[in-house]
Amino acid sequence: MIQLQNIHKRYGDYVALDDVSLSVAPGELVALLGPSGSGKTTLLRILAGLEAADAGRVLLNGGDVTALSARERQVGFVFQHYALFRHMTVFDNVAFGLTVRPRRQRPGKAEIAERVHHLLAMVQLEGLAGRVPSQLSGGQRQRVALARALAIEPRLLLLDEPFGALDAKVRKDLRRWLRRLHDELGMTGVFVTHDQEEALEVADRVVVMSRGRIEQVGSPAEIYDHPATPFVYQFLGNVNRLDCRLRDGRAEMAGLSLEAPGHGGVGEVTGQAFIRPHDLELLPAEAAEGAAAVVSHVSLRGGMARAELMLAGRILEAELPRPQAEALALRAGAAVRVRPRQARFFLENGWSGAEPAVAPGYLGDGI
Amino acid sequence: MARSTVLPGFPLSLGLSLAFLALVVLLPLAGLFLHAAGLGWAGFFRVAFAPRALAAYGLSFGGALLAALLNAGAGLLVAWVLVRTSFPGRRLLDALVDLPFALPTAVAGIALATLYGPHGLLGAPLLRLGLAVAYTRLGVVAAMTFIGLPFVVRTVQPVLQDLGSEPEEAAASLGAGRLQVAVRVVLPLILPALFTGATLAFARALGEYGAVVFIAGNVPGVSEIAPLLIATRVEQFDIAGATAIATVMLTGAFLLLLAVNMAQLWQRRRREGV
Repeated sequence: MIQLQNIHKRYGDYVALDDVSLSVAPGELVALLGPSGSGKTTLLRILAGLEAADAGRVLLNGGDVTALSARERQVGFVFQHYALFRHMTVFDNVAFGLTVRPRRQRPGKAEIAERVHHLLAMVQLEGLAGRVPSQLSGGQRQRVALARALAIEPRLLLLDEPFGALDAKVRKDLRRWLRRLHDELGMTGVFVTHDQEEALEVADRVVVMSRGRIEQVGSPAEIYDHPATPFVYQFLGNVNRLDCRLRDGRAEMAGLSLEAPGHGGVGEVTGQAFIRPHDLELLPAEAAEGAAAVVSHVSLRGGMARAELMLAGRILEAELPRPQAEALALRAGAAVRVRPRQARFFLENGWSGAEPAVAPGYLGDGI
Repeated sequence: MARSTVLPGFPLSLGLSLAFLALVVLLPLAGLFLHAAGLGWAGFFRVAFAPRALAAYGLSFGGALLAALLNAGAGLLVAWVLVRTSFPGRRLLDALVDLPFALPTAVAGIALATLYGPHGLLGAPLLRLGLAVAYTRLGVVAAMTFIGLPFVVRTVQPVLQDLGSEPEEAAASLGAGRLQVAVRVVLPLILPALFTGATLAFARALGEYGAVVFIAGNVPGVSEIAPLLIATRVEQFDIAGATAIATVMLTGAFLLLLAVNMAQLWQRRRREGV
């Protein structure tokens, strides 16, 4: 069990973390997700003891480790650029954490060798024990860094942008592999990423951060389907954002109109509507419903087609299955009609309805 | 069959650099050997290996070696502090490091002689403790250390900067203590730079004249350095004698620097050949 309580951190005038609290259950794999400058890496470094918080406490398995140094915390840390010891072989890199132990706690030479080879087998690098880091590929270096961190049998594994420096293919393999490894070892882990796809695919729970604060914590499905704030909506996946006006349970935006059932009897309010691309329905130009729009660009991605539309001077993005796109004869310059299936509203006077409330005046922050 | 390479003008650049080296370094040195040869073998040995000359070589080479070792330790520490820590006045300290480079060596010599003299700020208390610095061999080493420090700091500093703090942080998170981080992680990574810096400091200390003679006392056979012996001969218009001593110094220095270079090459080969 890890607990971060009311962590504050500032660098000069810059507030990196502003009253952040978070707890992670044993065996859980948590992603800290946010844009650069959101404070996610600072939070990870504070957990590891590489950085000291200005205020707040860090608890590890119930014990207060706030005052302990990185050396004493027994936390495995995998650096973004691996930070391998380039003058040592792969074997010596992995063995390092064991060989620096005080003599009485240090395992014997044979035992160290056995454990290193076991770890190297686990990260699928058995044959490379004698190489130096400069002779390895990026993915291999990453796995050496992981084996090195696991060698000290850490109470907690921390990874800073673990796949950030790798190319797309290796990245995908490696994150599936990390997920499997985590499931086998059952170790508590926290990793930092700015890639929402990575966070949603790998983590049990996602912590979305922005400007030194936590925006939302939840399972990947919760975060994606029920974003709590406009920031989270914007940050996770593509979304169309439109100014809207609500009156008597109906929303009007850029010529589009939509039922807003939770908003009956609120009077007239303005706000913003968020519509996912796959929630924009495209209809033939001669249809009676929807608003008229012009296709400006079509791109294909697997079984899906992505269309860029001009609607009353705004650019919207729509996503639809390819057979549907072909039936509509979608191409640049074509006229279509567009109708939203559903939207999520963040209103200036606060949120009312089934979804969690958004504080008044929140709108516009961080977007 | 022309070999193609992306690096331009290889024959021209090689030719130019060789010509420059010959003109600036080799030619004057050849003249030196030529002059010394005028003495004949017997005369050369008599002058170059006289007891007074032998003592001077010992002091010059030994003192320079000691100063280089001192600077390797102190310079490494200064470089680490300048790169890894931040404190008010860090930039000022950084600029101060270059002073021994910029100062006319005679100024440095006079300053050191005053500081370490019998009535000096440091010399007086040290003398009371029974440690005479000025006008002894100790003074020679002190002056040599002073002028050599920037070489070590300025060669190690960029390497340390380039290395970043991540390897040190990684080692700490793996449970290594400060000494273990220094000895097992930082030192091996900057050893080539440290070696180069110490070699430069050694070479500079070996040839230094101005900073040393004011504080050395120049007692023949005790605190007299080889460059002074050469200067004395020149003042007595004994050019051949001066060149004889210079030839021994030059050969010694060349062999030492060559050995250091070979050692570095061997170390690099060993590391890469793992």
